[in-house]
Amino acid sequence: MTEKDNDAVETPEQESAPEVSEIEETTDLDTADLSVDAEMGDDEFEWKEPPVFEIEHKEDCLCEIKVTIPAANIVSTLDIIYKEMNDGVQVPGFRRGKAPRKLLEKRLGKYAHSTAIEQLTDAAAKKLMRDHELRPVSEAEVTGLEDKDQLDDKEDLVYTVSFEVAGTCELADLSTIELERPEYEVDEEAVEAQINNMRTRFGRYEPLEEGVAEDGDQLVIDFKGTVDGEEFEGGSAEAYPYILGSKRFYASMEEAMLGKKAGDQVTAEVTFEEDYMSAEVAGKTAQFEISINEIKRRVLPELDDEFAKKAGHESMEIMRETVKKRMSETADDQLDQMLEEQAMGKLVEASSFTLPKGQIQQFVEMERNSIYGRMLEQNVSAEEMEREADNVDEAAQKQGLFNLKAMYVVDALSEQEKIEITEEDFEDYTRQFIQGEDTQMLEAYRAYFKSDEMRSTTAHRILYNKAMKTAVAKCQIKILSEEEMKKAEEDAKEKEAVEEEKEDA
Amino acid sequence: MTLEYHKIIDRPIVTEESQILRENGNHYVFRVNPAANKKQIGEAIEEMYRKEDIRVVAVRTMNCRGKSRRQFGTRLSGRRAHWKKAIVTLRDGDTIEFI
Repeated sequence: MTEKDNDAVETPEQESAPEVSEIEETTDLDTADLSVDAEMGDDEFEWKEPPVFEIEHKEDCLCEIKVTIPAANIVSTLDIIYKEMNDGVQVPGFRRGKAPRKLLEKRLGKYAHSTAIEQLTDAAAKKLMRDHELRPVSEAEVTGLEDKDQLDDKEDLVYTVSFEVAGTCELADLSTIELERPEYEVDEEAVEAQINNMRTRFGRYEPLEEGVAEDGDQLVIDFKGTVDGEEFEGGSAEAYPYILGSKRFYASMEEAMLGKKAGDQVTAEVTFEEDYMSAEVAGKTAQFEISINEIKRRVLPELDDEFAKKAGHESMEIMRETVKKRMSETADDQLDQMLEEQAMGKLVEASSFTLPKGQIQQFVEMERNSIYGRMLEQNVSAEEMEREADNVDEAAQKQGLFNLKAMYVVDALSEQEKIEITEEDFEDYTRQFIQGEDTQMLEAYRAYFKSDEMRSTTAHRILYNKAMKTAVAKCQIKILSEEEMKKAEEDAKEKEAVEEEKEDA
Repeated sequence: MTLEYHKIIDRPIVTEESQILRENGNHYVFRVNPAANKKQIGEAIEEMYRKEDIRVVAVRTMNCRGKSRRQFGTRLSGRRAHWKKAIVTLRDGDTIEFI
């Protein structure tokens, strides 16, 4: 035995294998240690010779790429794989990491080669994306690698990849887009109405010394109802406050009480419906004896500073101002949002797009799902859904396409106008959902919007808002007076009607 | 007793040790039929690798005891078959391949 000379050289012989080549009993390899590929993070793949890409753009954003990976890379990759594999695999008869490469090739060749293919194609794909700035939106379809688990280290690896890349959007010139904004001024009458509304809310009932019961008065009554001379459950009460005109009692009872004085006794006849909730008296006629104990009339507070203070304002004048301001702010917000929607609609119409088919389908599908989701929420029956299927399809087709285009518009806008999302935007967005200074809620919302699953959605929404704001600011805005607005609406309706006629024809 | 070569040579033994022997002295290690003698083993190897036209210079053999194997603790015990190991030395420059 020559155990002393154990500086083994790992170069196996070069001759072809003989027909008898059984290897020492093979127990299972230490499969637990086959975690080689996990460690092979190829962030920086070293190319011996760079791969060659032949890119062919086909219609509808389809991209077909012929990839040629030079053989030199195959050799180097396999070298690395075997080296790393050897460290992790125990071959019977050999200490860890001491097995000769030839043996490994025979035992794990398939695995090594498929790993090599995976690594090479992965690295090639990364390089392709980086060098040519392609943005795939669909799964890549690879041809030429089907059940290829044997690499020839003298031959280049050639295969084709095809996928859809993101479409493009030729954004229309913002300054040519005309938006219509209806003129809005807060109506003084509306302000008064709002204040009056508040006044009623602050009103109090005060006992009426003299006079008769009118609509809106609160009566304190005792009543006793009998059917065929017998009392029934729920048919009587004492000192019951009832507001005349609230229509909670039957009309005949209200009529009987109207115009009576405090202390008066009245009777009323009521016929219950057949399906009255109490079966005992349903469909029967009851006599009610009502005695009016007291009449209270609602006294509205005077429109003075005292009332204003009660409502949380300093004086009546300030109160009017605040109400007006609040109303105009709400209206402005609504109009702004309307303008944004209008701008998006016009931008989508005026811009030109090239869109990948797969993505359109994906968006239509998403829209369809959300339509059905809404239907489910509204408890629409299954049959109706089936009946509506065609309409839903059509709507989804339209809306899905619009959504996709809108997305491209936002992307194009943010690129053109250099819009970026900052941390402050996140903060502002979060604060919209909080009323006042609720730090606990704020924290919760903040965490929610920044969580992994919500972050991109939130960012997208913020970007949308920001982009649309910028876009609206750059568009021409035409202020329409009320009459013009009405006319425009009519025109639109007419146009629609004409179009529908055309479609029908 | 005449034996066919495939009845003499069981299989090559591929271990680190055998690899060292092969690389440093052109010795090849096989597991062989315990009934075979050195002469038969040498002839069998030459016959087996007739295509490579090799010459066996020396054969050393040793009988190895099969390892004892137990099942269910001590209740069932037995052993693997005894076997014969042969270290075959080839003429300088001759090689055979079995990995």
